[in-house]
Amino acid sequence: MKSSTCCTPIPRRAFLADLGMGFTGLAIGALLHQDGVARGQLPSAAGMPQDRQRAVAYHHPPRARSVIWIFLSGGYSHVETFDPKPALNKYAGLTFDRTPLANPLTSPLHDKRSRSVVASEINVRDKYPIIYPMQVGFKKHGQCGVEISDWWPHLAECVDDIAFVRNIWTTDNDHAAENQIHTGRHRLDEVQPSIGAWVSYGLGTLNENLPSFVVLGGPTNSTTRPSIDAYYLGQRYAGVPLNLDPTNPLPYGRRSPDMLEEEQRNEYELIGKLNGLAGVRYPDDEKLRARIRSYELAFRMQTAVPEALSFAPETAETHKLYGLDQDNTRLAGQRFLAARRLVERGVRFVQVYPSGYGVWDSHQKLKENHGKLCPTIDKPVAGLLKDLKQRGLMKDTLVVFCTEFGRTPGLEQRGGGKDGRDHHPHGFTIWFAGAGIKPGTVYGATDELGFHALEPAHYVTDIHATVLHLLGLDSRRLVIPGRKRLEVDYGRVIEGVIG
Amino acid sequence: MEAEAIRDSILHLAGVLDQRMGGQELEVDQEMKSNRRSLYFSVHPEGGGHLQFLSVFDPPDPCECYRRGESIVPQQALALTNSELLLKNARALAGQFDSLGEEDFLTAVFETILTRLPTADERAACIAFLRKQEQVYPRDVPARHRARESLVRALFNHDEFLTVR
Repeated sequence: MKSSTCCTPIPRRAFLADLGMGFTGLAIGALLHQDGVARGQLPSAAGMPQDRQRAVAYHHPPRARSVIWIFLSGGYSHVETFDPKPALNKYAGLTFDRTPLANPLTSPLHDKRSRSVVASEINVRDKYPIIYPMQVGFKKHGQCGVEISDWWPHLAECVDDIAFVRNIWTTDNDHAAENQIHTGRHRLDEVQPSIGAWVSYGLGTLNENLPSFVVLGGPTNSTTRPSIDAYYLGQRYAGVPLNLDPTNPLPYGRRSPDMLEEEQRNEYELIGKLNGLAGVRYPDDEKLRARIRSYELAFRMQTAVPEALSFAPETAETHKLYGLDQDNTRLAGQRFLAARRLVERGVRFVQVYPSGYGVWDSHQKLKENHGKLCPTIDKPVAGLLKDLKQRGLMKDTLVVFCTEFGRTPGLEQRGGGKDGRDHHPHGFTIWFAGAGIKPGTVYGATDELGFHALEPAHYVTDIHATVLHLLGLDSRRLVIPGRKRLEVDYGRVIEGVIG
Repeated sequence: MEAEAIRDSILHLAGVLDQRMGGQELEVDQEMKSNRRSLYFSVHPEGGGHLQFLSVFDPPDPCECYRRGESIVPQQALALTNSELLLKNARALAGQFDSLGEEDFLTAVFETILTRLPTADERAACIAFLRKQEQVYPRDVPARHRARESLVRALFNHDEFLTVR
């Protein structure tokens, strides 16, 4: 707290700071911090950063330490992967109103949940009435007898470790739903920080040499940046995309070849020293402290990141387990293996895009498309689960596997289509595995036609609430003063998957 | 400062900023070949639509109409110490004052980059740095030159250069 006599002019900066978030702000900030509500940095006495390895203010004991969030872009069909619907085969070719089942298009749930953005043509998406049969078979697997489609033979070996949630729903029926599942907000509403940013903000890092939120693959499209951005939490909590090329993992991530290591170390030391002297002159300057911090992290990242992303120390068996030896599984395998290595090294949240932007979007040729794509992910993701298990990392790591929406039980007829399904936000499946999860379960259901998620259904923020809960945080207590959150943003924990 | 101002300032202080106005917009792959103001490079929302250097400093988004963020992230630190833009121009700037004695050199680079004189503490720190740095290089390398370039690089990373107070 700044004190001054009435004869000493108060520096304008200090006066304004005191008025805003100065003394009063500091007191409130401290009180809120004790209650676990605010998570902002409290300035330290000497003006130097003291938040390295800061003690995390958990809201309750955590079950998980890190998260591997796997996102398949484009919308995989729930009825051809994890949610079998025999009724689709039984009534194939009929319109919904010709079956003895309730017509999902006339259900009150239909308009209650959906929020089409573009009128006329797009609304047609919600109204495909002709039932399209499942394009692949399902079988029971594992001791729990959970059904999974024949396109996932390797993952089928892991069902005893997985909890499927079949009644997720969202509101956007176009690809902004990709941002929606990461931020909880529809495209027409104000953007919010992504789930990765909240985790990074709430927990901080376990490894001071690596970012706490890493992104592998995507978003390749600038419209999906909200999926990794931190918005009002601040850029330092946003996802850091890393490339899997160990010689160039992040832009400018390696020092120039004609610079010596010690030369650069001395340089960084001088930068820190000069900025530190400035920090003494300007003790209230938050940005200066942030800059000092960023240099410390940057220097260490130069060696820590390539080391984390190098697969050379991994055994040949591991390479094979993840499918690195096969062309079609190599990309996903590399990203999953990198995720495991990063999590081992204390990265809190690794967001993995094992396939390209929108590739699962099977408006046409669904059987061919999914038939080709599933094998590219199946073996690598099963490899990840098996690897986590055998290394004892399953008990600390939460794995989430999701997509932005499902696909319509009705045949897509736009443009004379005959062999695909359109976007379907009303009900789809995601799964969890790992720390704190009840293994070998199926939770929730869609109606017999796979159309509506049956109540109590789960909006996408329920996935966030569950993730945060397992990490020891209560989403309702993660609030920044001045940034009110809505009920829908907090979500409810999906108790049925907690073990 | 915004991305563009940082890049332009570095070029300007090195004495190589091309002040010509107007003309065809430049493609992003001309980043290291052109010394024109950052303003003249094209910006588009598709991949590769920003200069690589600028992309780590909150580049403008052509799809949006909001005030730009002012983030401070380690990727910027890496860009400012490892990029060719910085290495090349720091070398040029150090070269301009090469003939000066050490005290005068410090005054000159502080005045050029931070527009002020160094404080006594800063002088001491820089002189200690130059001594230490000169020991690092192998025999066949001009140690005095390299140490001075290194100092200039460090000053380009000073918060007072990067921020308008």
